[in-house]
Amino acid sequence: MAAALHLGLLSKDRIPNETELLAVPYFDKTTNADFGSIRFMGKDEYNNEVYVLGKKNMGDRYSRLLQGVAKILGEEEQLLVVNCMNRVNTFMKLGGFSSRKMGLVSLGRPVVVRGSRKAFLELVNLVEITRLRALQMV
Amino acid sequence: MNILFLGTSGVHHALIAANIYLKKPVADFNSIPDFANVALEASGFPIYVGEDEEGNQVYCLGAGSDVEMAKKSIKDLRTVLGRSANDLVVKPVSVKGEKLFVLLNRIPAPLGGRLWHKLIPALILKSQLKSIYQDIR
Repeated sequence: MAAALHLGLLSKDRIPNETELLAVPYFDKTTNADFGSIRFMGKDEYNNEVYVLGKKNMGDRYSRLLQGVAKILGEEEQLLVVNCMNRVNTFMKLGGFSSRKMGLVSLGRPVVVRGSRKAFLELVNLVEITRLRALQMV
Repeated sequence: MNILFLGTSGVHHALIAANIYLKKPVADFNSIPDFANVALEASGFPIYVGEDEEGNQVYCLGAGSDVEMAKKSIKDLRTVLGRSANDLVVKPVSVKGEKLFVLLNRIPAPLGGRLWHKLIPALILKSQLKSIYQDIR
């Protein structure tokens, strides 16, 4: 959702409805095998490539792991890792767990959608902060 | 080229594997720099171990409980950054009881850190040193 907001796939001006959320690539569609995969979402207006990654409950440690690997490769300036988990609310966690982990889509999806709508402004804020960080890196 | 030894903990078996690869002595774990250094492990960054005879830089890294997930992410990141296995080789290191190290590393040092972070892992790893050697060689 944060990547979709950054790329303009979702408007920042109003809370998206369920149809709009479900139209976002990968939204509530991932499987267990997708964890760890870095998936391309698109390019922003500055030609930055935007990717998404599911990392289970690894927290900021995973960000540092990726930054460290980029540093080894001499590419640390090319990578900005954004941990979205601190903007994820309980509804999103419970709904995501029910829908994805337990396969109870009809039960979990409405909860994750509700949680996502509730977290919308928090995510917009994160995306704006990220945009500024990206500009500072140029 | 860079070589990254990846384990659940970067300051236990992955570190030993990197030292074995560099032909450094590992029989006495206390003599291995940064062995059981959980503060370093907590940083989450790769740990530089040394350079092999071909000039490759050797690192170890703790990935937490899901090493396969981390391996996948590192390989994907390598591709995203336009690099290949010629630039970075990822070598997962696995031992019995490896997930226990993740839990032990989280125990705060004042609660008997030396026991949880060093002595118990050393006991677990001592009997598996041979299999780590076989994996690396």
